[in-house]
Amino acid sequence: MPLGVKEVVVIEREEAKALLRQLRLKPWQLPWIRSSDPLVKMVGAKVGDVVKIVRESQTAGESVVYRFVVPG
Amino acid sequence: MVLREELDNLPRKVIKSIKFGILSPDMIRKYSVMEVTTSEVYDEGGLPVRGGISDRRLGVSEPGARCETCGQTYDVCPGHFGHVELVKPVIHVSYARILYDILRATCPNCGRIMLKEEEIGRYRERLTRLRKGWRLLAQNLQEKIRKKASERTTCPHCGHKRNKVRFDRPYYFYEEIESGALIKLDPETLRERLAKIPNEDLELLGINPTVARPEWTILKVLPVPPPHVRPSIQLETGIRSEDDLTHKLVDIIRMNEKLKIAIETGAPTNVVDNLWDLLQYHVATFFDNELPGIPLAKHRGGRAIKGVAQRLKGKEGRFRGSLSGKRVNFSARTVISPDPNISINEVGVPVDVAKILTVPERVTTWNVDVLRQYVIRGPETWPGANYVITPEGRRIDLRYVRDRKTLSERLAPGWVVERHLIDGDVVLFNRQPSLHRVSIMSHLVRVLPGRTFRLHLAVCPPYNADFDGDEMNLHVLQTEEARAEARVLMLVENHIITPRYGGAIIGARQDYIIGAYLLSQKSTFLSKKEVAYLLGAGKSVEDPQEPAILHPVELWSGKQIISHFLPKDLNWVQPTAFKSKCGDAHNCWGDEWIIVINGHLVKGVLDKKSIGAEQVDSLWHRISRDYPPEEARRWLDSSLRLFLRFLDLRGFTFGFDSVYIPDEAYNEINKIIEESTREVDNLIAELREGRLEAMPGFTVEETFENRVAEILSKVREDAAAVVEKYVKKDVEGYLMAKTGARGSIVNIVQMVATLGQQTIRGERIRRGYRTRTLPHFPPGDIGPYAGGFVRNCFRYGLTPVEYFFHAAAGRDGLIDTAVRTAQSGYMQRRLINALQDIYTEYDGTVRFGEGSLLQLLYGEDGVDVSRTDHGKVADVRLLKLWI
Repeated sequence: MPLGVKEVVVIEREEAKALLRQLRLKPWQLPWIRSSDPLVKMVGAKVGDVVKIVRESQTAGESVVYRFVVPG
Repeated sequence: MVLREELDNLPRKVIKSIKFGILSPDMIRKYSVMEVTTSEVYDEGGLPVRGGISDRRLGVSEPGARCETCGQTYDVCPGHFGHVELVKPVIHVSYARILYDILRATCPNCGRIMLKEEEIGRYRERLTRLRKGWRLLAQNLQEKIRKKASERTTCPHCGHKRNKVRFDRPYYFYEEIESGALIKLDPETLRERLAKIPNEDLELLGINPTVARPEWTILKVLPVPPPHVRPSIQLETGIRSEDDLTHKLVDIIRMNEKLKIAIETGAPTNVVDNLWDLLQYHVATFFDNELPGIPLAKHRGGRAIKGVAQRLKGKEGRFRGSLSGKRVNFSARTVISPDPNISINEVGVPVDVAKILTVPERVTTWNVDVLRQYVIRGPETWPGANYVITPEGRRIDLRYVRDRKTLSERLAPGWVVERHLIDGDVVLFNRQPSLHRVSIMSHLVRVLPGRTFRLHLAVCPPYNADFDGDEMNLHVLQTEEARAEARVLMLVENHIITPRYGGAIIGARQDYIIGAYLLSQKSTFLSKKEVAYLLGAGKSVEDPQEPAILHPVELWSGKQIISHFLPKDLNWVQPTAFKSKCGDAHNCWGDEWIIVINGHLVKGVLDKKSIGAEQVDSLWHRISRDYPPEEARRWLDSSLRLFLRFLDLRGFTFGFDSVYIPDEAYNEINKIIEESTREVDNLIAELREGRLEAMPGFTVEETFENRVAEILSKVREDAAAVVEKYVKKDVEGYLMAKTGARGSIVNIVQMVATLGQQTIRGERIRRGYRTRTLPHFPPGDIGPYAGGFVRNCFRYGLTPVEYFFHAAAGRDGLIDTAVRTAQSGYMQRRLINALQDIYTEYDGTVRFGEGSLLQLLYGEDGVDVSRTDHGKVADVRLLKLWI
């Protein structure tokens, strides 16, 4: 696992939909991550998936980021 | 009022999208109201020639005349485009680069994209998929398709072998045939080739053929903008001066005529080609006169002609100069100067300025009497009024009203008086560069005599202002909403804590700090008269507390006076700058710790650490944080005035005697310097004999330089210790350095001991010299003195050589700051442009302008820095103190 990253998971379709609904976002309005990113390969996420990444944060100790897997 | 109603009834439309495309020749002709056929502009009578560039059908630019197309006068007629039929087509320079890309990717014979049928199918499918939601990726794919197509040399559709196309900026195209010779491709050939490309193939290259066919970038018809775009100016002498674009258009039309004649008379091809090239040149410079590789089009005087691109580009161009930035009314600008007697919330405004800037005030039954007085006093005497607006919306200029008394009697609710600026008005005050929020704050007006804006010294840091000739801008708010917002949100007192790091940016500095220190000293006692004077300076109306000494005369301690202004429920403990090893605040001798109990300063001296700006865990930080802004401001206002007045009373001066250390000190300092010089000499010997070993990652020379720099910089440190030991502790310079009012120990060392090593770009002085820095040294001298080590101090004077090195290092510092400000300014501009429409949503997420997500929680922790203590959300230690 890369430095500073604590957890990476692909989240379920349904869960992702709920999340996007809550944030009122279209999938591509999330921050992107390329499918060629080592982190994505590690968890085996496919293009169109949403991955949840938990990182260390200077300000909050731990922070959650959702990223949308894009081709490339 | 009437206009407002009309606007309300207008049908509203919403712009959903804007499409950018290229005008086709047919479209240009369709938009055109006339063809320009002659290069003549005016006839002998000075009237516009029909069919010329100033034809009345294009619109009129002088009052009185009527447009022949729409029949309206110049201020209503929007202007109408005309066109010129070019005899031979020319390339539009701005598209030349794109043309080159298209030409390389397509077959000159059949016009198809140089891709196999199956590739086309695959790419098309992928592209349509990506265009739905992945515009950025679609662009990448287009780029990839283009590259792939450009690599092919044989057309997969017709089998044609493609020659290499060469592009010579700005608008020449060549074809390289097998022999290696270059054949020029004229715009006509290019046009033919481009016209052959099918629409479907263009889509693969990222071009929307419905709005931008590539052959349209080769101009057969040139649109002629109406005179509104290029107005002619009538000079006082009666001579008409035409706009640059008009001149350029005349050039184009003239060249077009010449070319036409040449072709009709059957001139030799090289003559025609030359004229054609000239036409191309004029059309190109009409659009952009800063093209690389071709000469600037110039006026007879030698001034470069402004092309269309020049009008839009750059800082003074249409976008940055006219649309993003415009000039405003109700503003003033003048030099600023300090005034310690006004509040930090206030700004001193000269009477002359106050008589010009106005505030519109509605007449009500409650203010009608006052407003009448303003109107009677008129525009000349302050406080008066400059304009009166009647309920019908008519503006009456009081400068031309003979009998203001009668007019004033007509004032009734519904009228508006534009009265002069008076004390207490809210205005915005700004100093450029406006780098952060606190570069613009609202102040309350204090109208004062003089010609400068007056500013409290404590508000200099947010504006980064000083008084060496700085100018600042002032804006008078014109609506009630704006005034209310400014008063609540932008007043200086609400910006004592900066959002940058959650600490006070406004606080005591310089004179205030030294004054506070002297007042808070144990030895300061004040008579009744002095106390009355000082409390008056702080604008206190309360009685002082019981004097510390009752007999034989009543005397108050300085701390009592300071306590008089502190909030009554304030409790605080912190170390001062004079803190020694003593760790227990309550069991210490002297004034090393500040202890405030219930608003009484019982122990400790005030210094920068306690009342200065930007200090973590300080007395002032607590006051500004824990009390309402208004109360904090009041404390600062009165205490700062008090400190300054006390300093006046006591007197404070800094002179030659203040920088004195005894002879023993000099003996020690000399010993230090001699010791170091000897060390460096040893090092030189080591280097010369090759005994010096290189440090890892450095050459021997670099190692030598590092070691020398280390030794010589230690000289100043060691000298500082000696100075600290011998300098009298009550000397002004030392007090200023120690309390943090101004200067540092280094400054004192430079004054009394030694200036130490001078540096340029962080190195000893050697940059740009070969064997020696000055002829005063033997060639190859790399010793301390040849490298810019200044052994003397300011008190006893520098040698000429030392003075030179000092000046060199001083200049280096100046250049460094100049370069740094320019670089960081540009960096900030780019950052602001990139980040400008990011915002925090009500759900705490950070989003881009169109709503996409940037952060799930602002700053990952959702904390507003301006509500923290220097970035810390809550101070646990402090909570304990409260319990």
